[in-house]
Amino acid sequence: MKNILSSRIGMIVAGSAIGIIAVLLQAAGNPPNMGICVACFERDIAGALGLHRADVVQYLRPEIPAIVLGSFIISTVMKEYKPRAGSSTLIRFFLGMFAMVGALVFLGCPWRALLRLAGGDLNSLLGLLGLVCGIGIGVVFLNRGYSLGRSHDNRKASG
Amino acid sequence: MLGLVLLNVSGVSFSEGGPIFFSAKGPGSMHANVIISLAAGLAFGAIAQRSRFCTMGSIRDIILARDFHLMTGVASLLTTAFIGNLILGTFNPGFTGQPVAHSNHLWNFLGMTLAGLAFALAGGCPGRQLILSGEGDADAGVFVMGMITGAAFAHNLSLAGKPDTMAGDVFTLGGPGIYGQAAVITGIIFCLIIGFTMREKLTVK
Repeated sequence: MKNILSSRIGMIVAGSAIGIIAVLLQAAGNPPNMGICVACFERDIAGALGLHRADVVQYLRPEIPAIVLGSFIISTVMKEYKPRAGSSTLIRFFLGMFAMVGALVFLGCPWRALLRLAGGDLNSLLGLLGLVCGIGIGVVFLNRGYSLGRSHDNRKASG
Repeated sequence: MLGLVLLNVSGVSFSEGGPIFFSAKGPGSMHANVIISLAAGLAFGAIAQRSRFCTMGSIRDIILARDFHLMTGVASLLTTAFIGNLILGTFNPGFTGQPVAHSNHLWNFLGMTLAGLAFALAGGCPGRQLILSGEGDADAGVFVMGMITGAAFAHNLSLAGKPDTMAGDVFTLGGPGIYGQAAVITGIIFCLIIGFTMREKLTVK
């Protein structure tokens, strides 16, 4: 099946679309330089569900489940939905935990780092530099054969 | 079943007409209309799934394979958001007085170093992990759950960075507290250990 959006031009279109939507979301009332921020919004959801008590960051952001659903729907339609699971589950959980701690110390996920830079926040440069540095270390591990194991195809329901 | 678990999360928010806790002030109180948010999120998910958009991946591919494909998407995101901000008059360059941000450079840097390392080891930035969850990757789903747990920890234990504050003329530098700094260091060490120990046996020979 042809996948227009994964071509080079499609990539540019996709990136632009995400950028535009993010800015529009800011204009529509989302926090400044935070049109879409996965880390921030997951944090807000955690707050809304009562998992933490910081009362300034509690809101059940509809964007997060909507992103998952959007991806789910499109991948199902395009026959790319492929349930899989099973490698190093607990390690992934902890990686997620620490990733979040790191992201919240910076106050944003990579998407927001870009949006902050686009909004003129130069502090984000330091964050992006750190991001590049962290990924660089990660790549060293990848080159040395790092892997969390192959994921296995799974039955539909497990996805 | 992750797609459905998250469906449940959204379902809960609808059936009760809203979350249990609402922020009365701060970033949590600022949000777009629910319908707009939902529509935007769906669009995000669909676009990102089709294009395999990923910020972490863009940088990884450049370092690993000199592949700039994903970076073109990131660059165009940056450009359009930049132009959008200019048009809306929300472009405000500088280090200080930035919304929901702090100018503690060292910890901005180290915080994202930890995040970048963890993303690289897990195979995607937070956005990409959501997309993969939607595609049926339960491993990515577990990562997302870990992130939500991490967020709970970060705020319950005061690990998260505090924004810079301006009270009158007094400028207070934000940034993580001592425990947050300890947590970042712990996290980096944890990721390094994972990186050193989790190696595919097959590729070693």
